Amino acid sequence: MKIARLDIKAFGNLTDVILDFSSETPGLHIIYGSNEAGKSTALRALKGFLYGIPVRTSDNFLHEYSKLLVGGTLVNSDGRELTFWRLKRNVGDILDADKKILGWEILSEFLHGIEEPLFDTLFGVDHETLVSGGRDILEQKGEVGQALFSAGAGLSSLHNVIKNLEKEYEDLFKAGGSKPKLNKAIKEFQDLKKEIRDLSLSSYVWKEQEKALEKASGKLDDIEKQKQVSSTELERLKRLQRSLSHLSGRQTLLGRLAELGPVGHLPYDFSDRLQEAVKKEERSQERLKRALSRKEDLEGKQKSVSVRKDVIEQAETIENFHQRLGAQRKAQYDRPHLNEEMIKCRAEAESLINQAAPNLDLSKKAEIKAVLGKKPSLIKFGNRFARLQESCDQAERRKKDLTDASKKAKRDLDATPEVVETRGLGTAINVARKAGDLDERIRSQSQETHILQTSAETESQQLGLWYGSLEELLLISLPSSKTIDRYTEDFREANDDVRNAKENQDKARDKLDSVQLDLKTMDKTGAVPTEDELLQSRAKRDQGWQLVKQAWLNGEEDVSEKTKTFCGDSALPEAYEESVQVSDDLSDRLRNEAERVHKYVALLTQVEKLEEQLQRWEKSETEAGEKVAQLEDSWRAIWVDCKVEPQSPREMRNWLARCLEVRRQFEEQKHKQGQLKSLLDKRKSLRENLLGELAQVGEKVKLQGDELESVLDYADKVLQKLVALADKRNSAQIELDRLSFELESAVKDLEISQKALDEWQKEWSAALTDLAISEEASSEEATEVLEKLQTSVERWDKAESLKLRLEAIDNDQKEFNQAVYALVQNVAPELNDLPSDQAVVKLQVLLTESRNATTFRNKLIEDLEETEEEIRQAEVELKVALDKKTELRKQARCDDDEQLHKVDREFLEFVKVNSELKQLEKTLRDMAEGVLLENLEKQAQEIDPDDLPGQIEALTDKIKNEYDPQIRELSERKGEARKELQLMDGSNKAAIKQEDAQCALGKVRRLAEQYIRVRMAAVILKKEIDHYRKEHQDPILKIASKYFRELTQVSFDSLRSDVDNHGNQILVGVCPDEIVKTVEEMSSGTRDQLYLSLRLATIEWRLDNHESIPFIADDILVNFDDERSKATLKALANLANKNQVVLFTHHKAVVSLGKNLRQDNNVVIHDLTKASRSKS
Amino acid sequence: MFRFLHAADIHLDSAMVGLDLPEGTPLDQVRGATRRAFDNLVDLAIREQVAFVLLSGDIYDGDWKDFNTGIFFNRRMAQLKDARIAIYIVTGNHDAASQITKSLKPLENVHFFSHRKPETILLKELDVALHGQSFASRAVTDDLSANYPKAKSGMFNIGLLHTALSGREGHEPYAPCTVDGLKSKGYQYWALGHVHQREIVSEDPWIVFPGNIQGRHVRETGSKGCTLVTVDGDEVKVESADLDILRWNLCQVDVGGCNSTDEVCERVQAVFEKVLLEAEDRPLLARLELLGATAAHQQLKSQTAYWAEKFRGLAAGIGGSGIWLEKVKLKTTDEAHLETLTQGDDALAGLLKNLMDLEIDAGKISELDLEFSSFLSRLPAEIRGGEDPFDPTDPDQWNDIRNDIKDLLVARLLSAGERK
Repeated sequence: MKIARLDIKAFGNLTDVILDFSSETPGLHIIYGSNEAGKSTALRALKGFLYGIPVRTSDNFLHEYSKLLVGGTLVNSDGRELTFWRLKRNVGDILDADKKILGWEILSEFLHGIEEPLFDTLFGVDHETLVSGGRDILEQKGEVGQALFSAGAGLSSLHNVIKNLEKEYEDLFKAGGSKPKLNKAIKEFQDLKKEIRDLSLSSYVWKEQEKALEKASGKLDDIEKQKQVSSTELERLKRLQRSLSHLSGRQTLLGRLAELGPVGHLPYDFSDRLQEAVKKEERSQERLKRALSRKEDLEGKQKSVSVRKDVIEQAETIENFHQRLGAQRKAQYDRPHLNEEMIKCRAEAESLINQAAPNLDLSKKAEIKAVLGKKPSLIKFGNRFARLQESCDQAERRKKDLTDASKKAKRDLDATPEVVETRGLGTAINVARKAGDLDERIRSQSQETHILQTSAETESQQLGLWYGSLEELLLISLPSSKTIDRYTEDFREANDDVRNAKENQDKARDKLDSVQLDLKTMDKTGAVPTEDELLQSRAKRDQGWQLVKQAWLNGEEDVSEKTKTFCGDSALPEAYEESVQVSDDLSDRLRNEAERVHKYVALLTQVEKLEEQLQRWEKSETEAGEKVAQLEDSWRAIWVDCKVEPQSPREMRNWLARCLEVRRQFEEQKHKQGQLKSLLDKRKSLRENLLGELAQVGEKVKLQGDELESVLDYADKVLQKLVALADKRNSAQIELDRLSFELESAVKDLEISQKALDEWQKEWSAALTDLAISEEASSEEATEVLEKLQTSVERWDKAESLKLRLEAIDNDQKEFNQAVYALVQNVAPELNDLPSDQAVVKLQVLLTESRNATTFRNKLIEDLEETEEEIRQAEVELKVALDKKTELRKQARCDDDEQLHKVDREFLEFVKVNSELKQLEKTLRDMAEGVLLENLEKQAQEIDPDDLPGQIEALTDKIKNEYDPQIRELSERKGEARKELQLMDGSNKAAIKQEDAQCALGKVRRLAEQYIRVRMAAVILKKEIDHYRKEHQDPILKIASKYFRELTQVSFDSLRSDVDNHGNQILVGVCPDEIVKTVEEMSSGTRDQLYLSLRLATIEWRLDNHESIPFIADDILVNFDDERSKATLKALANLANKNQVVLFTHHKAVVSLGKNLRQDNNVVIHDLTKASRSKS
Repeated sequence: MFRFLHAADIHLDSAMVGLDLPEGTPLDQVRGATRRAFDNLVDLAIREQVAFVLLSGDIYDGDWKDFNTGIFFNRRMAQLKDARIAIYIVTGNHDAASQITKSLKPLENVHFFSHRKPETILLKELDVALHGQSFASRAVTDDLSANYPKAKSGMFNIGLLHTALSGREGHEPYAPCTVDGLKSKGYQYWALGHVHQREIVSEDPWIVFPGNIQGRHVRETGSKGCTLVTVDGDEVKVESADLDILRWNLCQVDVGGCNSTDEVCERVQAVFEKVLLEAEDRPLLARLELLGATAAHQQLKSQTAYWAEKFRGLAAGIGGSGIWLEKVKLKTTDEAHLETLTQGDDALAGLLKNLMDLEIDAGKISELDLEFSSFLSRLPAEIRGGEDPFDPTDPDQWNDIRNDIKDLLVARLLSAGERK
C-alpha cells in the first residue's frame, strides 16, 4: 500500500494543504517545514487520516473539533484505490468522496491488519527512537536476539522492558532473600502463626493452671502466719535491747531532781523575768543621760540666729519689681531699632509720592485716598482695549482672504463650457436597455430555429413507414394512442391464449408420459391384480362349479361341450381346482398387495383424465389462433387512411410517439420563426432612434452592422461625458455665489469693530484727566502709578504707629525709677546710691536670705521641745524597772541582790534536769511502741541483758534463711499461676492475631500472583527473543549488513553475530580490514545507524511475504553528518523503490541533499511552507 | 405469647479470610467481628425478653484451639443467665471437631442436646417441646432426623438440627434429610443450621436456616443475623434480625466503553457510593472486579499493582462507614483492535501467538523456569490448600495468568516503542 495523496483540509494550524504523493515508484517523499510551519501537525494529520483523529487532540485551536477534516487516497499494490475523508468523531468518522459515511472495514484491505500501535512501532521512527534504540543496543551489549527482536517489533527500549520486569520480580521475591516484599510477607505470616500458638490457651493448660494456683496460695498462707509469730517476738527483743541504756539514765535524772527540790516552787519563767528587770534598769539610765546633753546643745544654737523683719514685710513688692525688671530691660534694648525703622518708613513714603504724583502732598491724605478709590474701574476699562483691537484686526484679515477667493472662483466659471440638453438621449438609451439584450436573444432564437428545423427533418427521414413531406405530415389523421393500446392488449390476450393452450398441452403430455412410465414400471415388477381380473376368475370358477355340479350332482352327463369351452382338453376337476386356486390367489394378492393395487388403479385413472385434458387444450389452441387472424385484419384497416403499412401495435405505439414528436418540433420551429422576425424589427427601430438622438447632441457617427449593443455603448459614453460637464459648471457657479455673500458680511464686521475702538479712546482720555498722567498713557502705566500711590500711603501710616510706641517706652521707664527709689528709702537705705535696676536685684537677694534665717530658727524650737519630752519618759521607765526587781526579791525570799542571783542559778539547773527527763521518757515511749513504761521496766528486769543479742540473732536468722525464701518462692509460683490464668481471661488476642495472619496470607497470595505474572512474562519474553533470533538471524543480518555498509559509508563492511566471553550471542560490526568491533567500540552515531539498519532490514525482509506499508521517518538525520545523511537518504531512496518512505524534516540541508538525489526520480520534495495557505 | 431467637453458625473468633488491607486501615473496625456480632445476639435476646435462644450448631471453628474463645462464650451465657434466658444447643460438625466444646463446663442455663440419640425437653409453662440431637463426630452422614420422635400433641414442637438438607452448594452434605421427612414429624418449627445463607425453606411448617451471624469472606455477602420468632396461640411470626457489624460485597463494575482511566475511576467511585449506602452504616469489605472492553485496558494492565493501590485509595477516601478492598481483579479486555496484534507475523505477533499456545503443567513450568519449584516450596502451605488453593498449573488459573502476561507484555512493549 502507498499513500497517493493527503489532503489536510482543516487540522491544527493547517488549512487546505494538499500533499501529492502520486510518484511512479512508491517513492521517498521529503516533507519540509520550518519551525511552526506545521511539520508535526502534518505528521499527526497523516496518522489521524489513517487511524482516526484522537478523542483529545489539541489540534483544534484554529478549527473547532467538528470542523477538523483530513482526506486522501491510498493505493494497494494491485492497483486498487481508496479515497476517503476523516472527521473527528467516535463513530462514522470515515466518509467517501461524496461525504457519505463508510464502515471502517473498508480500510482493513488497505492497512493489512496493521493497527495503530503496531504501525507506530514498526513503520514509524523518529530521532528519539533512533537514539534510544541505539542506546538500548549498547545497554544490552549488542545481544543479537534483543537487537533483532527490537528491530523486528519496532521497539526502541526492549532492554529496559526486560530490566524493569526483572527488577519488579526481584523486588517481589528472591529465593534466599529477606527484603523482597513476598519474602517479608511470608515471614510476617509465619511470625504471626507463632504468636498465635504462644497466645493460644489449651483447655488442659487452663485446668492445670487453676489447680496450681490454689495449691500455691494455701501453702503461702501457712508460712506467712509462722513468719508473723517469729517477727513479733524479734521486734519485742529488739525493743528491749534498744531501751536498756535509756532506762538506767532515767533513774539518775530522777535522783538529781530530788536534790534540787527547794527551788521547785518558783514560777517557770522566774529567771527570764529577773534578767528582763535588770536589763530595763540599765537601758533607762543610759537614755536619760543622752537626752540631757542634747538639750544643752540646742539652746546654744538658738541664740546665734538673726532675722530682717522689714524686708520680709515688703516681700511681695520686692518680687513684683524683680519681675518688672525683665520687661524694662527688653524695652530699653528695642528702642533704638524702633526709632530707626520709623525714620526709614517716612523716607520711603515721601520718595514714592514724589515719583507717582509730585503735585500731591502726603499731608493731604484724604485727597490721595479719593484718587485710589477709582482704581478698580480704571483697570477694567483698560483691559477692554486689547479685546477691541484684536477683533478689528481679525475682520481686516477675513475681508482680504475672501476677496482673493471670489476672484479665483470667477476665473474657474469662465473656463467651463456651456451646457447641452441631454434628456432626449437619456430616454432613448433607457428604452433600448429595457428591451433587454436583443442581440443575444436574436442570436439564440435563430440558432434554436435552425436546430429545430434540422432535427425535425432528420427525425422525419428516420421515422420510416412514412415518406411524405413535413407539411403533409401535419395534415394526415393518425389513430389515437388509446386505440393502439387497445389493440396491444387484444393481441396480447389472444397470443397469451394460444401460448397458454400450447403450454398446457405440453404439460399434460409430460405428465401422461411420466404416469405411463410408472405403469410400465409396475408392470415390470409383476402383474398387478385387478378387481376385474378377480371378478373374471371368480366367474370362471363359478362356471367350473356349475359344470362340476351338473356333472356330479345333477348327473348330467354331457357337459363335455361346455367343459371344452371351460378348460379345453384338461380334465374338469383339475381345471376347476385350478380355477379355484387362481381366484383364491388373486383374492389373496388383492388383499396382500392392496397398496400396490390401489396405486395401479389410481395411475390408470390419471391416464384417462390426462388424455381428456389434452384434447380440450388442443381445441382451445385452434380457437385462439382464429381470433389472432381476425385481429390482424382489423388492425391493418385502421392504418389505411394514413398510407402506412403498420407493424405490431407495440412498435406502432413507439412510431406514433416519434411521429407526434416530429410534428411537434416542426410546429415549434414555425412558431419560433415568427418570434425571430418581430425581434429583428424591434432592434432596427431602437437603433435608428438612438442614432437620431446622438445627431441631436452633435455626435454624428456611422456604426457598421445591425447590432444594437455597439450603438448603445457609444450613446452611453456620450451621455456620461455630457452629464459630467454639466455637473462641473453647476458646482463652480454655486461656489462663486457663496464667496460673494461671505465677503459682504466681512466688510460689515470690520466697520463695526473700528467704531467701537474709537469710542473707547474717547472715554479713556476723560478718565485720566483726574490723575497727573498723560492722556496717551496705556492702562498698564496708569495702574503702576496707582500702585505706587497706595504703597506710599501704607508706609506713612506705619511710621506714625512706630512714633507712638517710642513715646510709651520712655514714660514706663520714668515711673519705674521713682517707685524703686521710694522702696529703697523705706527698707534698705544702704542701697540708696545704686541705680534702680541694681537696687532691685540687691533687694531680691536680701529677701531670700531673710526667709532662710526664719526657717532655721523655727526648726531649732521644735527640736528642743522633743528633747524635753524624751527626758521625762526615761525617768518613768527607770522607776518601773526598780519596782519589778523589788517584787522578784520578795518572791525568792531574798534580802539582797546577791542572794537573788544564787537562787536564780539553782532554778536554772532544776529546769534543765527536768527537761532532760521529759525528753528521755518520750524516747522510751517511742521505743516501747505502745507498751507501758512500767511493763517495759518490768520486762527489762526479767531478762538477762547478756542473752539478748544471741536470741535476736537466732530469730533474725530463722526469718531470713527459712521463712523468706519459702515465701518468695511460693509468691512467685502463685504470681505465675495467676498471670497464666489472667492470660486465660477469654480475651481475643489470639483471635486478633489470627485475623492479622489471614491478612498476611491474603498479602502473600496477592504478591505470589503478581510475582508469577511478572516472572513468567520475563522468562517467556527472553525465551521468545532467543527463538526469534534463531529463526531470523541469518536473512535479516544479511540485509542489515548491506544497509550498515551503505549508511556508514563502508566504515563497516558487514554485521555478524559472535560469541562473547560469557557465551552470549552478540552483534558485531566487521570493518573492511576484517577488524571486528563490538557495539561498545562504536560511536553513538554509528549505533544509531546500526539500529536504523536493523529497522530497514526488517522492513525490506518483510516485503518478501507482505504488502508494503509506508515507512514514516520524523527528522531522523539530526545527528548524522552530511556524508552519512546523504548515504542514509540514498538508502531510503533505494528502499522507496519498493516501499513508500515519508521523511518529515525541518532542516533545509536535508532538502538540498534530497534535491541532489533527484536524478533517481523517486525523490519528491514537498514544502509545507509553500503548501500551507494559512499560518498561525 | 412468647418469643425465641434462632441462630446458627456463630464460628466464634474465626477470622476474615483473604483480606489484604493496606497499611493505615483502621483494623479495629474489622477485628473481633464474630464476637461483636455475637454480642449483638445476646443484646437482642435481652432487649426482646425472649423466652429462650436456640443455637443450631457450629458455635466454634473446628480447628481453632484457643480456650479463650470458650471462656468468652461462657461469659456471654452468664449474661443471659442473669436475664433468666435459657439456651438450647445442638452441636454441629465444627463443634464436634473442636477441643473447646469438650473441655468447657456449661453453665446451668445452657443445655447441649445429647449426641447419642434424639432428646426431647419439655418447657411446660410455655407448652413447648424441643427435640434435638448433636453431632457425635465431624462427619455425620446418617439422617439424624429419621429417629426424631413424633410431635407432642397440644404443644408447640421445635426440632433443632444441623444439616445441609438434601444438599446446598458450598456446604458439606452432613446429616442429609429431606423436607418431606421433616414435615412428616408434625413439628411447628424446624430450627436448622449449617447453611450460611439465610433461607426460609418452608412456611408450613416453618423450616428455617437463619444463616451465619457475620460474613467472613467474599462468598458470604449481604446482611447476616438470626431469626426472631413470635408464637401467639396458633399464629407464628418469623422475622430476620441483622446482627453483623460489617458487610461483604462483590463489587462488579462494568467499565466498558470508558475512554480513560479517569472515566474508569469515576465509574468505580459511583459504584462505591452506591454499595456503601446498601451497607446500612456498616464498614464494607469488598472485592472490586472491573469488567468490560475499555480503551484504558492497556494502561490498567501495564501497572496492575499501581492501579490496585489507586482503587484502594479511592475506597479509603469515600468516607461514611468506609469501604476497604479485599482484592482488586482487573477482568477488563481491550477494545477489539489489539486482537489483530497476534495476526501478523512480526516479532511481537510471534511472541503473543506462542504465549497463547503455551499450555502448562508442573513439569513444564519448572522446565521454563528452573527457580519455580523453589518459589512454590517457600509459600506457606495455607495458600496452596483450602477452599481456593493457589496453583498456577491449574488450567483456569493458568489461563488467567497467561492473559495477564499477554496484556502486560503488550502494554510494556508497545509503550516502549511509542514515540513520545
